[in-house]
Amino acid sequence: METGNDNGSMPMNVTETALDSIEVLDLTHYLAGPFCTKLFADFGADVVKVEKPGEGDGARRLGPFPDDEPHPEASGLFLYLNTNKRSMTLNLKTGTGRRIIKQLVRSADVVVENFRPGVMDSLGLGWDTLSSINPRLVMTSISNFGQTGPYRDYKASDLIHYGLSGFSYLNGDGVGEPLKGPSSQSQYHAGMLGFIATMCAIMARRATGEGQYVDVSILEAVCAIIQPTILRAVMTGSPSRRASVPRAYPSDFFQCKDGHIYLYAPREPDWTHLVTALGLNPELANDPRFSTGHLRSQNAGQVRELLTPQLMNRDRETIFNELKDWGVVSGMVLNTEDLFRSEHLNERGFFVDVEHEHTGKLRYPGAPFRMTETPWRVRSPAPTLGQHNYEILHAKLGYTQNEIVRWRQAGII
Amino acid sequence: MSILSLEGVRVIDLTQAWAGTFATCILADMGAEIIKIEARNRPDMWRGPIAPEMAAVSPHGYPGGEPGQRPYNRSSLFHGVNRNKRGITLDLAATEGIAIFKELVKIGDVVAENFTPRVMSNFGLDYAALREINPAIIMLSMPAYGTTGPYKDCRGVGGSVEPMSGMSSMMGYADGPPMNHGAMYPDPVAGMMAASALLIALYHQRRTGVGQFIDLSQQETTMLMLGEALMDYSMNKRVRKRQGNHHQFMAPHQNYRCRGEDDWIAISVSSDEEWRQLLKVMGEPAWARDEKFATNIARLDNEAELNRYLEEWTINNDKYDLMHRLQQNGVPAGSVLRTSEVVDDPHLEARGYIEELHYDDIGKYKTPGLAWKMSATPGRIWRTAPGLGQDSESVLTELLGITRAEYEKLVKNKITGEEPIEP
Repeated sequence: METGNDNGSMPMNVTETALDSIEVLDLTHYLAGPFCTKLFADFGADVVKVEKPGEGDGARRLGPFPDDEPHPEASGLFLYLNTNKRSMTLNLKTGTGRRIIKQLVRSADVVVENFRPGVMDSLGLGWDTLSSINPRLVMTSISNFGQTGPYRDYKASDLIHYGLSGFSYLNGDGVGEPLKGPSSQSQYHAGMLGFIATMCAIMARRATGEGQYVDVSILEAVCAIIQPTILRAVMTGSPSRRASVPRAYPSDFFQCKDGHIYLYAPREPDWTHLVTALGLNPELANDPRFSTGHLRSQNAGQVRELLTPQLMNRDRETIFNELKDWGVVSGMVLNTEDLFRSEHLNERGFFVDVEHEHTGKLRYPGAPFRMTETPWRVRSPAPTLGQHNYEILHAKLGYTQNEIVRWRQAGII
Repeated sequence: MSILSLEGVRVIDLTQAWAGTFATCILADMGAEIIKIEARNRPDMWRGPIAPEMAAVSPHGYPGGEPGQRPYNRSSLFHGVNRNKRGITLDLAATEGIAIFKELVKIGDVVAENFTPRVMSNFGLDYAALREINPAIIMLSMPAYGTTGPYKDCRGVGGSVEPMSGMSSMMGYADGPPMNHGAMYPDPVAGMMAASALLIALYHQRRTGVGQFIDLSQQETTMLMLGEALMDYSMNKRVRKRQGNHHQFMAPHQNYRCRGEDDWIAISVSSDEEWRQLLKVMGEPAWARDEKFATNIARLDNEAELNRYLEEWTINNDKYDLMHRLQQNGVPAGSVLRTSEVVDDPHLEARGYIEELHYDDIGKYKTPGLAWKMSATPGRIWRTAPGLGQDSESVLTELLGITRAEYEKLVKNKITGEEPIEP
């Protein structure tokens, strides 16, 4: 079978999904937990997302919103993270709410939650209770610092995770303060690791018939991301402090006519090719000041002076393509507008159109990877709050219309 | 009962450097058997140079700064992502090497590679060929820009893919140029996502006997880490700019200098309650009574001044001591640790995340270990990264029934072996 699902959308004859036999009871909110359960949902699992009555997942309030008009059904973050999931509202602090959760646990394969450690236990929904209801259950808890340890009850944010993992220390120009990355990278790391560990537990269950408890810490997820960098710091005794000039040069950003480009030519033959491609005298490549990546780093200012005029009269795309022909690696600094307009990404069909009753049709980022047999797919947009209450409470669990109406009045759902 | 969730899974691993190797390292940590294949004349580039003189100026990080006799077995970066793997060498440019590779594919579940797209086809080892050998095989290709599209043949490194993902346009100081993370960030992100992909494919394969081909683009994976920014453009045609550590909704939210040469603390306040607690720890400073700092919106409007006042206080404090004091008073704060300090953090040690491992030819070092706790199948670190070709004999004789004599002949013909060959 060809690898080219070139337009990214689903071929008509492949409706198979990999995870459709898996039922996930999703108690998560905000980003890390929902990104974990998004991976399940987008590859076919039946994910039931439990939200607080009235307010729902806090991500519904974060936006971005079309025209900056807040609306709980139009939050960009929520819409992106919650494709393919069903929503039911349930107040977990009520006896009825907890009873319903326990009923759903009976047939669930997985429960994922990202409350503060101790919350599930205080609700009477801890691992001991749930696993006794369903010994095959995999329960995954994602938290800031894990379920154990001296920082267990500490508060956190992406900035704090970047700091404690050693990641911030690497970022910045060495003059200003250390930097975190854009958005909330640490949340995404923990979401992916939560998915990985949960899937491994599901694989283990095939052999043992039993479930288990999975404890993922956002801090450890970030440490895992820079695991070799940490080991290098430990073994060399040197912490890889951020610097304004990299040690092997050039591997840095340069301004050009219409923006910036990252040039990577720390070794030969790339440096000579770079110099030639930019129309400079190839002899310059052999100038003693510039003859190794190390020397070029020490004379970085002069390297910049040399290259800049040739870069400033070319646009990013021209430089990128010229260097590509020489086999020299570079990267254009693209912003979100550039990405949506990218010929490469559009030919790959990376962006997908998703229709939603409140926002209409919008383009979303698409598949994290292409699979030939069990492709990624948006079967349904993010759910509205409690959209599937009736479907789940009546059709699946057998409660009557009357009961459902009473519960809504009582704020139980 | 086994503590290994992926026992019985076998990966034929051609990945190099960071991205693909991290994916297979995660699987290895969970108990999969990873057979890492390198060439004697072109080992994994993260082993660094073969010759000690060249190694002295490379960034691969040798213990105590000493390349040693065999620097290619002592690269700290290589050790960071290749533990738990079995390492063999094979010359894939030779027919005998290809034949042995195909025998391994027959008994494998996964072939993983992160070469530029034409390499596997040039070896005659594209997915169509592998599937002929083993219909259940899962093949993972993870080049910088995917295996299709105008950029499919573009080489990339983490530092060049990051700007192509949109990340760099949004990273850096508010009035400064675009920046990358200080480590080649798209690599481990793609690695984590690739591990996820392999698990989905393995689950499907175990249930149906069917393998498949996976195309993972490092550019696209990294883009997914920017979901909100992409949605903002999609909804509002708005392009997000660099803003340093500024947060749209929170102030204070910054790294502040502490006592020491390069020591900082991260403080992020998300409610009036946390703000009041912060002021309590600070001893109710007079400047904080100003209207300018009374509400969250006011604090955001006067952020520069707020940060100056805060740093005048933090600079006289120890970054660890201050973190604990603030946290004990309900204020989110965290020390900005040096990468070398992370392994000494008391919380991570108490969690069992830090393991002290003995590295052959190197010695004992604290190591970032397994980043998850699983009650039944936690995984384990059973060995540190293999030396070049270290397991060639055991893998080829045990798994493929090759005799000792045949193995010696293969070494003589340079098809396999433990000594590097100058390219």
